[in-house]
Amino acid sequence: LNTVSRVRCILLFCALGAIHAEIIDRIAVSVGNRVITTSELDREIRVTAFLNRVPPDFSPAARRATVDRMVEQKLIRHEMENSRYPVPDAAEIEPLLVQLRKDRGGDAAYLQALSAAGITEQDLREALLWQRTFLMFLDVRFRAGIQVTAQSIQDYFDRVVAPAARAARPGANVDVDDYREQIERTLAGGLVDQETTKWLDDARRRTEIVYHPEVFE
Amino acid sequence: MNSVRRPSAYFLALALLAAAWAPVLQAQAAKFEGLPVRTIQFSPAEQPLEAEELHQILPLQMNESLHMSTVRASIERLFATGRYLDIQVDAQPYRDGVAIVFVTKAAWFIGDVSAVGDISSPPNSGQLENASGLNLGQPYTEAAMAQADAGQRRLLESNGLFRSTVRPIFDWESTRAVQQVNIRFEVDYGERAIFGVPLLTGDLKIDAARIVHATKFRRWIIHTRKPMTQTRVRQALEGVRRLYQKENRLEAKVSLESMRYDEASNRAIPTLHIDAGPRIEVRTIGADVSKDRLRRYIPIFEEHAVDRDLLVEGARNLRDFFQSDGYFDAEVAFKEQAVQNDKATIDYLINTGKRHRLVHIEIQGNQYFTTESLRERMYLRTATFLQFPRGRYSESLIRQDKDAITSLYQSNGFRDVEVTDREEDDYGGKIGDLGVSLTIREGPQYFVHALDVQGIERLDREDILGRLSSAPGQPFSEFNVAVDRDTILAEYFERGFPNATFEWSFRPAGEPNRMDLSFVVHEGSRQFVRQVLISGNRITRTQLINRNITLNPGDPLSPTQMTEIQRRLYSLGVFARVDAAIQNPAGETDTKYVLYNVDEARRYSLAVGFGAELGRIGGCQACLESPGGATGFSPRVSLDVSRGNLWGLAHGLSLRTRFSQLNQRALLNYTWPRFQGNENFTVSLTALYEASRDIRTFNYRRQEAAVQLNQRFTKATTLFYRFAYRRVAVSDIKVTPLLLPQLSQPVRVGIASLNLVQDRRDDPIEPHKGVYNTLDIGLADRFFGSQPSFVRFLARNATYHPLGPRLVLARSLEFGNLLAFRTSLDPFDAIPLAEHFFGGGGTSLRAFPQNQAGPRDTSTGFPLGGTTLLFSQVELRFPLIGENIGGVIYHDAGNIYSNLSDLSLRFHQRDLQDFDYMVHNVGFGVRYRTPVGPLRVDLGYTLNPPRYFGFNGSQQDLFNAGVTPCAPTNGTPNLCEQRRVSHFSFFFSIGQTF
Repeated sequence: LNTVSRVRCILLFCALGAIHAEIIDRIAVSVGNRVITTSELDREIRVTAFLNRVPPDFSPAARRATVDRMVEQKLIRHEMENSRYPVPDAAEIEPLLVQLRKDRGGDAAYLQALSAAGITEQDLREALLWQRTFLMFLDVRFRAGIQVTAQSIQDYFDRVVAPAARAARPGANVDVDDYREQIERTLAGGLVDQETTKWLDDARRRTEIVYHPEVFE
Repeated sequence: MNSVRRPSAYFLALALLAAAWAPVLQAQAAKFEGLPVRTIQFSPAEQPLEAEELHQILPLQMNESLHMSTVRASIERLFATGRYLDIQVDAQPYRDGVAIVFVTKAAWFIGDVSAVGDISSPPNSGQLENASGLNLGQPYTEAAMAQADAGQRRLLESNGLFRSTVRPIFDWESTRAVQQVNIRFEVDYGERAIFGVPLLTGDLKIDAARIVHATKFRRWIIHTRKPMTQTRVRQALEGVRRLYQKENRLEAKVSLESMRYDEASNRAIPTLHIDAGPRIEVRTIGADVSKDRLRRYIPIFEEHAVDRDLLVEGARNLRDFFQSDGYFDAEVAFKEQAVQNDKATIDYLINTGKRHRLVHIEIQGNQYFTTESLRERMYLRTATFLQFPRGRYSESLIRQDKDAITSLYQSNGFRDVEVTDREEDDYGGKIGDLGVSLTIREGPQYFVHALDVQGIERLDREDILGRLSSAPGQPFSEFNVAVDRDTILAEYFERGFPNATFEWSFRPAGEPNRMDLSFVVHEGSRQFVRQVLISGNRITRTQLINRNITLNPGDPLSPTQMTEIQRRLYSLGVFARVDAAIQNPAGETDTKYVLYNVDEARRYSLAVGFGAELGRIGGCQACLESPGGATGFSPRVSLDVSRGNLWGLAHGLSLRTRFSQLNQRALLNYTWPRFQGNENFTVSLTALYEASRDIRTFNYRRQEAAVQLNQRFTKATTLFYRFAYRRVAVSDIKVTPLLLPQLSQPVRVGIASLNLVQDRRDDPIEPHKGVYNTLDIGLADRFFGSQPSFVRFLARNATYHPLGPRLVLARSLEFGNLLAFRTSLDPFDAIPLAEHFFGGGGTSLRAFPQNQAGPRDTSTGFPLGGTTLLFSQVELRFPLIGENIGGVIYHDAGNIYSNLSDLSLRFHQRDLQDFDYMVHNVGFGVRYRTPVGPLRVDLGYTLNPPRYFGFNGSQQDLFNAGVTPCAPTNGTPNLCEQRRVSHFSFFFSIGQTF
């Protein structure tokens, strides 16, 4: 190819690009017979950035990390649909939204911030509702079956809490009963995390998950 | 070289440029938001879903505003159908709006999977196909293919086929329209590896040579090495384990650590890891228990492990054994002793206590159920002679009985029922006798007050409600609710609602012991048949299969119907395997492809059999000795060859031959099942040649051709229309010479007959209740080319009456008559000898040996058969010892009579030429239950066996003796000897008498 031909070729490509149809959405990952689309991934990044008050990160690594989190969401949603888990009422997130508006300096500033982030309030509502749903799922699926024994509370107190409390307040009397509820919550939380991770690993193994690599390049 | 590379480089650069633009293009997608959608197209145009379904399920609709959320939902919905691998949505400006194109890539599903090539089992092609793990109708993926390859490789190598090759051939075209790929594995097994000398690792404690010998990797005597197979490896490990067990090393662990393949010598060298463990001696203290019994009851021998759970189970088994043997107080404990000098001891300490007999079971407190109906459900049994000499009792049995009674009450609404037991030792003052008393506290019965059913919308609500057990006023129990759940869900599944679910709850009603019930049904989506696809048939014609497919496109997707079709395909008798599946089962579509994949059975089969007959079938064939038969032995060989699925239409051709001293027979049979497409009709054509001496009076040769049509009316009732034409020639007739010219003529018989069979028995092999009727009417006439003209009538009625648990009264009555016409002779003389009724023997009338009943030749004593038959049999069948041995007492009566006018119920024989009276036989028998029917031994005593004259001489003597040699007026009565059929009879066979 001579230079003229090269230029012609590039121009032709540019012209074709200008009139050619644009990809507006496509599958990024399939999880069983559910999918995560590129637009969904994009929205998730924007919503997360908005809530965290950071600029959205569309780098391949960030997209991959976000989509992994979304795969877990899909697995949980699938389980919840199959087993008819209870879901929270949409009204439960209203106080959160009110707080959010206030934090953003009122309705006008809040709407402007949403627009700047490229998301709608509905996107935000869905994200917040999912957070509630996820917590409810953890409670029903895992927390209900977890037993924290008195011995494990005592062990944790002796190993972690008592030394820290004594270091913080030398000479003060440190009694396990003062920390019992807090320790129980911590230990139960740890066990829930463990169970959740195990369940998610199993679910990943059971489900065919296909990443479309071209989306993450 | 450059001329090739440089343009490629440019195109690469262009592609990279395009990729870099992608986010830009993506960001621009927002510019289409809110524009009206003017066209929706799919690329490629050929889509897995029909246009109507696409339009129905797609959230994105024409002339509506485009929103990214709708685009996303459209991708999700399309993908959820399971019929796509990838979906991309393109948009471009079009007129005043936007044109949308869904660019799709279709998914594939697994169809017929087969393995062909140089396959010498093991493994056979079926095993290879299974090892692939590629299941009919499941999505085809690269991962599934990788697993298939690994699975097949594992199977081949475990069978020593290290040099094998497997090449998958994909057929994407045949069933492209339905996205199904057929996979054929072309297999070349190569040379099978032979076993090398095994390597042994671990703590052996036994001479290595003995271990190697126990593997049996070498052939016996010739000592060459065997080819490797999975079975041989398993047997080798078992052999080594047995060796250690013989040495009392019960904990020995023997495992295959690795199998190294030596390519150069084509040898597989196994490495066995052995942990011998200590010698363990199991002893019983307090009672003697045989070694065999210890091995049966203490699981450490079978499990090759010693742990507390197994020892406890052993103690429990031993205790149950002693308790079932009458030691109802038996206690068994065990004590383990630590290993010392490579030896450990386990002592089972047995305290049998005194021996008991369970003589009394009392049930009290029951009002709702009768004592009898409760006893029927119990394992406990009081002592009975022979069957349960000590009764049946143990702690576990009484626990099971209490559970059964509790469950029965609870399922009838007695939620608070309590059952307690009390044992009374030395019952009635007799030492060793035991009485058991069960007290039932029934409590109140709960009833359904109101039933609220929600969610039944798309099926006939009233019909379903009418079939529920938990109706208002009915007893309330979880059992009834479970039955209702099954009823409702079965109805939904049957009507194509595979995702239907059922939930229920209850709460106390206002009235006492009344409950308000609530059922909630979630119907889910309904699925229909899109199409039924058949694969795997290579010879069998598709039209034959299609005739059995009763599901049509648009029908509700019914699993019951699918299973019924599978059953029908199996019943064609031409398929070794019929797999049924739904393509893409998890896909969310309303219509589904139903798949049937068949594996055709081998078409040729060969069966060789050997057997023997032992009975009163012996004696000289050419002379006049032993008219009643002498004890004889006749070995038998049979050879059957059959060819199935002729013309791919499931027709069959078979040749069955049998050869013995008494009988030589060849039968060629052509069968046409489902004649004219009607599954209730079967036509068969047969040609028979038979030479037989099973009737001692004569030998005969029969050549016969027959055509028969079977018509099945119901499961129980079948009618056979039959026409047979035969030529029968008799020889070596041992009767008075006067009759020889008449009887020795060959006879041609053409006979049309109807045979009705009605079988309503609960079990054809060992019936306990029901009716079995047969009626056979035949007409032989010159119209059919027959020389003699006669009517043949034979009817049988058998009934079975259960009198108690395993106690059955069985009876059978059989009557037959031959009526001659177009002749002036009486039927006995007019009808050829070979067409006469003959009877007697273990399966007809036990008063006589085989074919010895009825009239006899007055000179020679040989049986002549008759034209009338009347057999009556009555049996009482009862349990005898344990569960598998039963007993029978019976009475058989009847005979073969000369003519209908001679039929008599008379007990006594008038003289030596009178055979027309009723012969009675009583006896008893033992039955041993086996999978192929009861093994039968009968011993009978004939009360009034016939006496008759036999002739002590040769055929020439008989000829010289005149017409009636044994008449008192004749000059040669000294050659006539009075004889009698034996009083005693003995029969041994498989299957009940009737």
